[in-house]
Amino acid sequence: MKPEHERLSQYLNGELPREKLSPELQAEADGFLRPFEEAKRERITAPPWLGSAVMRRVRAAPRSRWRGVLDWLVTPKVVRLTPVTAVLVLAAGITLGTVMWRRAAPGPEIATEMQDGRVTTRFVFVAPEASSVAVTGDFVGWRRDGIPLERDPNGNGLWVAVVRLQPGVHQYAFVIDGTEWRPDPNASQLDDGFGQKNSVLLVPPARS
Amino acid sequence: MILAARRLPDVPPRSEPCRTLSDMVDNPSDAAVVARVLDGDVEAFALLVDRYQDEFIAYAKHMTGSGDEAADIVQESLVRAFRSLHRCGDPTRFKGWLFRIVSNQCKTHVTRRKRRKKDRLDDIPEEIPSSHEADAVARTNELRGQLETALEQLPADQREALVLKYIQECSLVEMTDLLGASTSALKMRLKRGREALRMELEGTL
Repeated sequence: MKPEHERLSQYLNGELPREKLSPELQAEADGFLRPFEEAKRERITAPPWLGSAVMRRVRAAPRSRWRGVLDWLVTPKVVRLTPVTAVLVLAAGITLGTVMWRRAAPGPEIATEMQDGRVTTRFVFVAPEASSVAVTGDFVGWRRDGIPLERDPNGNGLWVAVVRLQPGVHQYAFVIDGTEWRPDPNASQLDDGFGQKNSVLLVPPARS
Repeated sequence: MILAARRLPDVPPRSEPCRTLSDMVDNPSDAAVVARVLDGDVEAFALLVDRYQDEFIAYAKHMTGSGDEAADIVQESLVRAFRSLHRCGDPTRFKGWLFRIVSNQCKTHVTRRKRRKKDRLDDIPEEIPSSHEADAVARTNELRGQLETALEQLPADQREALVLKYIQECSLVEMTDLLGASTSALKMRLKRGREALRMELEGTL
């Protein structure tokens, strides 16, 4: 069978008026459409019993209001957001997640007892991939090697160091693998004047 | 009496057209009727049944080739539509939504019928017409009968496209809306359908 002529296709798709076809293509189109024209002449109507049969079934099982509410709750919905709203929702989610994570994450713990005029403070940092972590700050003259933290033996990625500090405000940072300086994500931060952040720790005087 | 088939997919616009007060009272929009039904007025559903049963019967008849099956399909589809009316996301497009239910029901019926025939592996004729249908078939133009037989041999999506385009007189835009396919996909479906139909009708016309 020969392929359909392009203009005939366009006409049969409703994209081209009949006048644009050659007489041969018009005859071919008429031949194709003739059975459909015959089919269209047939009057097809619903049998008289159909409407009442439908309504009988519909009345037999009316939808209760609670059923409607339940159906609404379990039916997937399409939520339409403008891009601006989507960004705001995402930003709110990230902010909330960050706050919750910071609350849950361990931060510096300060003991309530003081020995020799200094307060016991516990530094904790999460770095599962690190080979070494040290805490450095004004209390050790910002030495790069600082005070080394020990890896928690539970394998949870925590590094811990207990340091005795003088009461007052201290600035500090963690040094990862001897090269990477990072502020404590669980403490307040200050600009160090060189484009980096230092963490700030207030050590209150404790009773001896 | 011979009348032209009513057009099926006169898809309602997204926004309500201007309507007079008497129109809104005597002939409420689909969306207004759907709202009433969802609000508990079960009887209002009869308005939608009356409005669409003839159009969908005609479509189902051409899809299945059987008037009895078409009536069953439309009945089942309307009841299903009532039960899941809350899922009609845009009531102004109720007709298109109902069409998809009817269309799926038609395809399911045709598939089941073909499977049953295959399972039997005997020479049962394609359709055993009831006496009522036998009379109707006798009256039916031979050409019309050949078309129905040929359409039955086509894949459901091609048959659906041809029925919508050449019997229900849908535009490509309307078909896109009803079938959820792109215009180019529909053109391809129509072209393949026409070619398959010519093959089926070859020698009979």
